[in-house]
Amino acid sequence: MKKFWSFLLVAVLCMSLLAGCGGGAAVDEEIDYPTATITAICPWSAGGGTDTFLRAICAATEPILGQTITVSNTTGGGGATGHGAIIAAEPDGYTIGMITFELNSLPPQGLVEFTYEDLDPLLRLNMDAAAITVPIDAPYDTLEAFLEYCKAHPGEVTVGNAGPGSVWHLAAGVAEQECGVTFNHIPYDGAAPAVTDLAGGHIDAVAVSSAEVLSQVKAGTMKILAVMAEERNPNFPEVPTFTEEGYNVVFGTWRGLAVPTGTPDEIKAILVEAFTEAYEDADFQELATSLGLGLAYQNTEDFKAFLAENAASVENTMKTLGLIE
Amino acid sequence: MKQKGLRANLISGTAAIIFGIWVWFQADKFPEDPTITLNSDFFPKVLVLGLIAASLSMMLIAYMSEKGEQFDSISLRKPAMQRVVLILAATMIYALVMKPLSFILGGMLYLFAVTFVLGNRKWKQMLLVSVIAPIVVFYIFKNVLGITLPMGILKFILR
Amino acid sequence: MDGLLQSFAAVTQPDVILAIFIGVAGGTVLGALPGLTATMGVALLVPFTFGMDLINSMGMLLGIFLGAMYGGSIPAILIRTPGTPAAAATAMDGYPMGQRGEAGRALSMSLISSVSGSFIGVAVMIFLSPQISKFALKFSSAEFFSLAVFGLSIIIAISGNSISKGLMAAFFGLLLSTIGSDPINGLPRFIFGRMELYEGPPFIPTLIGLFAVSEVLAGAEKIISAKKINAKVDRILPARKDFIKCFPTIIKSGLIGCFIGAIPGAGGDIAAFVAYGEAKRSSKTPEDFGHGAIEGVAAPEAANNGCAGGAMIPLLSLGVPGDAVTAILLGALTMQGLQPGPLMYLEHLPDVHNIFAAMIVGCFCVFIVGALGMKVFARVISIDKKLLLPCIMILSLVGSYSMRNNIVDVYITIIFGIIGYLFQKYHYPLSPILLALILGPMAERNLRRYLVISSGNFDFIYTRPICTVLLLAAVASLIISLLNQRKITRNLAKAEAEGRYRDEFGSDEAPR
Repeated sequence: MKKFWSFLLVAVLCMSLLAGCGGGAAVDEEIDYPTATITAICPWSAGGGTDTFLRAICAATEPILGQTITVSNTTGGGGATGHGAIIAAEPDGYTIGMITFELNSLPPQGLVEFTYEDLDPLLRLNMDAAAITVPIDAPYDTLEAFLEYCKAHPGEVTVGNAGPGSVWHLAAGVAEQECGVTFNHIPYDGAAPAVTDLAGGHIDAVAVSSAEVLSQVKAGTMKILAVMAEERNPNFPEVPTFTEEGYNVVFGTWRGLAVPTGTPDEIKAILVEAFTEAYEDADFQELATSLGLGLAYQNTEDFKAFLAENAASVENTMKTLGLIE
Repeated sequence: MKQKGLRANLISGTAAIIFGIWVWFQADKFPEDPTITLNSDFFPKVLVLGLIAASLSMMLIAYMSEKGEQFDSISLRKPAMQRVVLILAATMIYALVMKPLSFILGGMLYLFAVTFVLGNRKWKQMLLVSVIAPIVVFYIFKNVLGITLPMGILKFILR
Repeated sequence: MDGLLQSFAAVTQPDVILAIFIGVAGGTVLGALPGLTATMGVALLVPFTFGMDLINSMGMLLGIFLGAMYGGSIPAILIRTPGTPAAAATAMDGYPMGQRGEAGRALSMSLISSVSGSFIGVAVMIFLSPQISKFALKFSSAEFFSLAVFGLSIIIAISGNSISKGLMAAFFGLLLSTIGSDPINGLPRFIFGRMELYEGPPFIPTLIGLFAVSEVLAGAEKIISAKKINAKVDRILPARKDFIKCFPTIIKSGLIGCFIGAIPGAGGDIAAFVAYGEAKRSSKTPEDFGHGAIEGVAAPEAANNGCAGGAMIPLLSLGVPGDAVTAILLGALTMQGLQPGPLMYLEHLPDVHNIFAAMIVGCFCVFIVGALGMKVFARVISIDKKLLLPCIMILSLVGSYSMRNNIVDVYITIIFGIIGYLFQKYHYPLSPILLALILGPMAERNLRRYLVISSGNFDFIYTRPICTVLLLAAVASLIISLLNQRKITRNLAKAEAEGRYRDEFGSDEAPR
């Protein structure tokens, strides 16, 4: 038995030396990574926005890293299971994960024990701002007109969201605060049913991302009044931001990549480099834009700062909306 | 009137009522939101009422029925029930060790054990199936569907 | 019309037919494996279709959809485990038929019903999409609540002999469905700290546990006395007698499935049960249902395949998905640069026709796949039970694990296996639990949501016509089922008097 382990040790040492001499396709000089399939954990189910986005970026990264990346949909708990799985995974660089907004909205509700500080963020890739969308024949064409209407009918204007405590519910809440209006929040099981109800004229508005109303708007059944973003959405260049309309509201969901704490720095560097290169790939960018998913890159340091700020802001909003004490 | 099967029906009916009452008390603890019409506890409580009503009528009908029902006994003295319990236990153990031991290794042991309990004595056939089936299933799920079943201690070989 | 003919020319290219065929074959296999669903198959394959032409990718994905709706019936008939939730109603009569040695007859009818249902659904989709989708949009939360109530009224029809036990099972299932986060305020109910239950009892593991695991345990118990079942398949097509008997049921069920599929959010599982309930109600021999009535196989299978065509209606005309699979197809279409919705008919009519043609070809492929595989499928029950049962158990555990890569789902499967086994022992039906798990959340969520929208107003019961109709239909359905129950008891008494007594719970009879 001892002989086997000694042999293995020697073999590994030799391989690392050889790797150091050769330098392969984007594999780092000092360590031999990756040499096996990498698993990318997705806290959301297959076919959804996050899953599609993750699969797309992984597909673009595979040729760069020279290894297969398998997406594992570890769903449940409103995202808790998947995020928990990323945190609990082996920090050997062979498990990475996509983290999303819910990483910051689950802890304040006391539903999970972890926070964003329990993993190592790598990169932010996406941000989708909330968009106030109404039916095409609604009597208001601008955000201002809509808000006037809301002030005239306090608590009556029905605004659909993707669920109690969801990012879109919070976004609508933030909008209420800043704009001085009161909506009647209607929770649905996800954004799609909310959009469907809006299409049927059963509610007045939705506050979901523009990606989720993309096909309806392009088909001419709905119109977006404003987006809660820093810049206008390239898919809808004529839609103003809340800031342009005079209200300081920036809110939306985000997605990024992370690894469990303890992953070696060299591996993290390789991953950051590879995924950044994949992010800049034209095909990937085209795909993301065609799906309406906003590209919003942030490097590791900026992302960490963003997470901290976002966590505080989310907790605040939840308190104001009465979702938590 | 003591019909055959009445006792079994009374047992299940009573169990249902006790379950219902427990649910009611759990539901009472839900926080209330005064602004909405129907709260979290509404539906569970209505359903409990329905369950209790249905249980009572079931027991009443059973009591008044002339024909009665024939129930198979669940006494553990019957070898049939012993088989069921053994297989259930084996399945629970398998589920618990699947992650650390790996789907494949656990599966081999499980298949062998269960076919044995069910009465199979054709050793060669049992060994063949027990060893090959988990491996085949693992590889099909991994390569065709992209689903990696628990690898446990076999992580190094299978990665 | 000649646009459609042109599409046929485009679709009958070898590479397209191959793509559709692979989709149907793959979908059938996926549907046949309990735990793997059409939704999963479509979701997993969508990334691979990025690079394909529109018609190839849609053909393959639609093929999976149609194949899975058929494939789910195979294990339902053979081992009483629906491969997809939409086949749950098929198990009620398909399994007893299989146990009687009539697996071939059941499989043939299932195939023909599935193919016919698919054609009906596709035909309605092609010719009536605009009208139906306008109607579908009228469904608000109030209408969904009423639809759920109507669906729940079917429970009496699937309760078997003891309505009170069926109701108890239904209430149990409804209570189970309240587990999870409250749909209106998000606070967890009955999860006892386990976040895995936050979204409710996971549907597939619960289904597998209640049906497959409990059946394995029951099989283990009876293994000594089980006789070898001869499952011969002499013919692919059903006997003329069977087909004539089931023809009206198939047409009706296909239409039911199509319309229910067209309602966004209502899927094949609801369609199958509603069709089953209706078939039982209109049958001259309702007492056969639940014990191997051939219409009990024809109805749900025609309905769940009709649902596939139906679900495409709102997707293509409105850009609103009709069910989970079409929700993913929406993403696939968007990725191909198409925006499903009213504009699609105007700007991309040839593509729409291509999709129609692909679905028609898909229907044919379902028949081919089913016909080719039938002899093989039927052989499964002839396998020595001592080997078959543990393999089914392993596949069940694997199936439950696969949904969320979560071992807790496997534990849940086992727990429900125990519950299902006990239910059987104490003569409680399982199908009402399933129906309750599907419709319970639909009822509660939509009612409470509508009350938020209307600020507590219950007027919808008489002000919204669709709701009124559905709620009245629910009441009517309840009354009719109760009356039917009396008819059944009468028929059974007559049979007993004439010496044709059938023992309800004899050891040979398959439990419901």
